[in-house]
Amino acid sequence: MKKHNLSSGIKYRLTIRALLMLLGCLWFQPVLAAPTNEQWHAFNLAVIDQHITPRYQQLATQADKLLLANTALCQTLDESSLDASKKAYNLTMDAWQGIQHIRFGPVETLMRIFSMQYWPDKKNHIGKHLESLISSNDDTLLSSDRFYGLGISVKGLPAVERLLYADDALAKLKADPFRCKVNIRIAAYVAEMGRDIGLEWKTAMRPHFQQVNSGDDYFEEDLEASTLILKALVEPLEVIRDLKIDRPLGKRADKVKYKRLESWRSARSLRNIELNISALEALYMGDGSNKDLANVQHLLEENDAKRIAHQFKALELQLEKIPSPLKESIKTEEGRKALLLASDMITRLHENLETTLAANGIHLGFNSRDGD
Amino acid sequence: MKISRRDFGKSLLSLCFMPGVGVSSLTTTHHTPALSTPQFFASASKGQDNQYWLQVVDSGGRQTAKLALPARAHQVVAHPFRKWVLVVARRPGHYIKVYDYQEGVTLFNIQPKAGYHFYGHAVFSPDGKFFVTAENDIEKGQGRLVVRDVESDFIEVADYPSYGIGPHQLSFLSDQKTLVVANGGILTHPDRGREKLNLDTMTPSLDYIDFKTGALLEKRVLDRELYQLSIRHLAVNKADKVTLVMQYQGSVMDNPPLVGTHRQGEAIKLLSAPEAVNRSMKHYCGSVSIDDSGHTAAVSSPKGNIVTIWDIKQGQFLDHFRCTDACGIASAGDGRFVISTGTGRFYHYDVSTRTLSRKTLRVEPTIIWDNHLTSL
Repeated sequence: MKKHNLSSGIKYRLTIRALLMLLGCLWFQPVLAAPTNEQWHAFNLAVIDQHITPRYQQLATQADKLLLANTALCQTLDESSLDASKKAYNLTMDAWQGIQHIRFGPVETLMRIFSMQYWPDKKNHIGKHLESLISSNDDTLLSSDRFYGLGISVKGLPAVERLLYADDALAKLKADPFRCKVNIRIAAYVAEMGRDIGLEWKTAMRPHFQQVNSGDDYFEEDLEASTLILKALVEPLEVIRDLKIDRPLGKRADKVKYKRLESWRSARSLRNIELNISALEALYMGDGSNKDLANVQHLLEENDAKRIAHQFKALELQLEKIPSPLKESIKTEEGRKALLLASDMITRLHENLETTLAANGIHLGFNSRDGD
Repeated sequence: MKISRRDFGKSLLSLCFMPGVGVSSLTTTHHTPALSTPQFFASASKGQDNQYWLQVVDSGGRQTAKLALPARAHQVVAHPFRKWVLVVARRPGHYIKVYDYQEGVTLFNIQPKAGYHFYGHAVFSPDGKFFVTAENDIEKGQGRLVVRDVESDFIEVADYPSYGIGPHQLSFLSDQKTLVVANGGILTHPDRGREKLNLDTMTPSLDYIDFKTGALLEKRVLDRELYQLSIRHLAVNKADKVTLVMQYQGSVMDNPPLVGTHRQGEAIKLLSAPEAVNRSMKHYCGSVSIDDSGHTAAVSSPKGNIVTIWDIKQGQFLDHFRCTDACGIASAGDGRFVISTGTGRFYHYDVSTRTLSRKTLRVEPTIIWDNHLTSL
């Protein structure tokens, strides 16, 4: 009996042990290992090569076409040439909205980010300085050296928008050949900036990401470089919500100010937001292939990653429901509700991205984001 | 100058030739061989466990004391001669911990009186007898300087106006009776969290106040067009020259000066870095510290991930280097600064050689450093 008891006792203990082990396995769910330096390194270079560089190339290409169209417009001042210029402007603005979220690197130098698009323009700097430039009728101001020295507000896409979408734009361009020259000069500068930014990413910025910890003086480690890219995924959401949606909406329906919308003259305010979200989604999702490393989601735990992907999709669907042009729909109750919902969805997406990245051990900054 | 990996290497290499320093120091610096006097540093921090901590470390980054905190803290203030540090809650804050870092004991818990909250900064009188906090009279939206008697268990003995809204960092001058305070000018209300309520009308100022009477001795404001330049942090050298650093609330397109110096009776002298550097400070200075010579100031700009170095005697920009999320800066003696970052790193910067070297932190749990670092 004793033997039997002993034997069954051992069996019993073994069973308990096996059960405990099984429970242990269930309890300690597999934890996704934090990405390695190599993974961060590969991610950084893939994002530069597949996301950032092609988008700046697209900007330069479209801006070159805008330059051609604006030049042709001055040669043949008719409606069809104006339409061609507007189309080229819209494609250039599409390209810019698709890379606006990258706020670091060459776009920061020489204030290019503000030169490309001076917005929001709370004090009507563009209107004042553009009119003053045009009324100077001074060709020398369009020479490289003097043009570079002009205020940033007149050198970018919003100035082109004003020239092409002004009331009686064609009549004004016909009446004043210098106005036409200014329109060409700005387009040339936008194209030049697009090319220079793209080139500097290749020659100056990419090497910083390529050579980390090898005598290069810019980044100490790959994750530090990746953090810049991750910030470009997360932080623009607040800018889009605060400046492009909440500010024009105002706190109450009677406080709506459609002129606070981005690109309201060319009636593309909603398109800008859609392109911004789509660019962020592209950075998050990549092209969906297994080999693609130019995306954030492959670095996250699978369930977390899926939740964020769903939020991006839901936000895109919500934006699709909003009638365009926004400068009209923002004044309606239905439009206001839809925008407020989109704004809330952006807030939740932003929160979830921050929380998820933090849970995956990625901190976008502490003192830099919430200082005192 | 930028931080160069080569310079980092050089500074490590130099350690190899120091007596008693082994080859292992090439990768991690566990000792502090370069120091003539051992020093300690204290700062608020946030742990990987999401707990807020006071941390005391030596100059080599080794933990010597820690204290769990009830909420996020801001400045840590050292008693002039006792082994006490006072941890001040971040605005709108409601606690101050008086902690003996040698014994590892919390001696007192100070709370603001009803209707007041702390602003995150405080200072001891040089004789160690009084403790002055920057506070907010919430309903009046008025900055206050509250004086407590250290010898009588921190009982309140005076409540002066700060002569501005949003008083932030403050310091004593060498006469031991004049207080200088940075009134940031930004109105907040706890009901609205940290929302800035008066950006269109804010009027930051630098104010000198008689500590014995609470009388205003001198008020300095910036030129009208710089009214959105919030004066937040300051440091005073032995010659009573104040270095003030600012945070700009105006248009992102502007590029205002963010550093200034002031001596009583004179106008504030504003200093700009070269244009590109000034812009890369991103309108924001997080903290300032003056070295033991009294001539050099180090200013952190965590939003721009850079630190700038200034000759405050000549009023000139000297140097800058990249340092991700760097904010806490303290003098380490011998013309050196210690820098702590929101990525949880710890560096030494040598003014004469302009080199930066990273120190391995040995702190449990793994932490990231909050805004201010204090030499003990």
